[in-house]
Amino acid sequence: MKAFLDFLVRFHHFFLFLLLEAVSLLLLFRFNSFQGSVWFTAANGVAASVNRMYGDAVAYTKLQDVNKQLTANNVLLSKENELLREQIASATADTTQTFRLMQDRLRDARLIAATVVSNSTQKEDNYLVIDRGEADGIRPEMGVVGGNGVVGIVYLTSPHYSLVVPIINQKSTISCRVRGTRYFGSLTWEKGNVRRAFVDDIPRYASVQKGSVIETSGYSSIFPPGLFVGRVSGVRNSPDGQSYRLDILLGTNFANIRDVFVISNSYKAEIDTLQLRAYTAQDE
Amino acid sequence: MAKLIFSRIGWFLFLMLLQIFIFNHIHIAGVATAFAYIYLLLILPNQTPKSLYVLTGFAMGLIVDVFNNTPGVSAAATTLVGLAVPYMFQLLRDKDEDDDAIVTPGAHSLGWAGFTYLALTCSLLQCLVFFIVENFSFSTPLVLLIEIAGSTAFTLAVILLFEWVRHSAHR
Repeated sequence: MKAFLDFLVRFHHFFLFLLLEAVSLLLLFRFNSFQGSVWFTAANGVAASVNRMYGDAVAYTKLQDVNKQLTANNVLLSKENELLREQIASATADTTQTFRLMQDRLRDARLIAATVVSNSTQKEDNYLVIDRGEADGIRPEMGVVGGNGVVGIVYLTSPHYSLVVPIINQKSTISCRVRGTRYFGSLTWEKGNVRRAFVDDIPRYASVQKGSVIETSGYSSIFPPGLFVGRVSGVRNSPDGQSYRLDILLGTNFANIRDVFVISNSYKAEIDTLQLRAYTAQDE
Repeated sequence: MAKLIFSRIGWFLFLMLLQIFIFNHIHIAGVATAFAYIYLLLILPNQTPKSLYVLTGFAMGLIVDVFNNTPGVSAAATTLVGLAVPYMFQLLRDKDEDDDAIVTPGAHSLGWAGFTYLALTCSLLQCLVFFIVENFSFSTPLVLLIEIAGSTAFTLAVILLFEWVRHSAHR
């Protein structure tokens, strides 16, 4: 104790120095706004970092509980995820790449959304009935497309319903071509497989690959060119041996078709008028 | 002894007035300021208690601060100088001199080289602390260095001038 007191007395000037420096700094920070602000900011930074370290330590001790909660949450969310996935799958089953490309092609045409209310696939001449009619602007000879490709052509209309001749009707013929080439032929169907149709009249010198895309040719005013119809699944000789007959795997699955669009081609009337005038001119 | 005390009180008043009315307003090139008042700490006799050195430094610094509107800045610097001077004086003076004799640091007791060394160290210490505390940031280190160097040189020059005058009068 005596040694300590001696120490204090011997170095009392040093403690006085420390005291006076402290007073100086107190004055400095109290009466100089710049140094004061710097000091308090620095002090706050120090306090904040200490607090953060404390917080980190506390959080570390709580990790186990947090982990449990997270696991529970994870299970809950993955269940929800599955549920939502299913809902999305059922809601967007028809929205395919083909459909988006088709929408791109049909940007200029007016599309009338319709729902198939009656359908048949087992007969030789199958028909579809859709729930839109003359009142909605639908006229005979308008094209009908679905999410996966061309569906058919409107045949008869009533005020609120329309009868559609689909591809899978033996009377149906649609002008088609092989994408990327100029070779075209007419699409026909024979009773049996609703996914399978044929394109006849492809010249023998045309090199058509298996897997090529068959699209509408645009030679009729019903469909604009370039709409997806199906893919070539086989190439063989036609019955008369003069040309190729292409086996087509249709894009549209008529067994579960539901939502379709009718293409209301605003230029159809003009094109028909032109053709009519051409014929009458020939007659004269 | 009493004469010495009155002499130092006179120096105290003189240096304070000089600092407050003249040197506080001289800023050579906007950077170099003379802290001439620390000269008093250099000429306190060796018998002065160390705590009195510290107190004197603080008091002078505080007075300068009040007139300079920089509370605490000079006080912090000069208090440190007050702590340092007696130790440095002990280091510089002859070891075989009588400890009881009253000696004042100066050109006559330390020689010009020794006194210049003492004055330079004290000036540097003063300027270093003063400008670091005043700027309170190292964002412009070059400016800070120029201020410290310039002010140290200016302060040293003024102190050596005082010492030269005092030394001449003494003889």
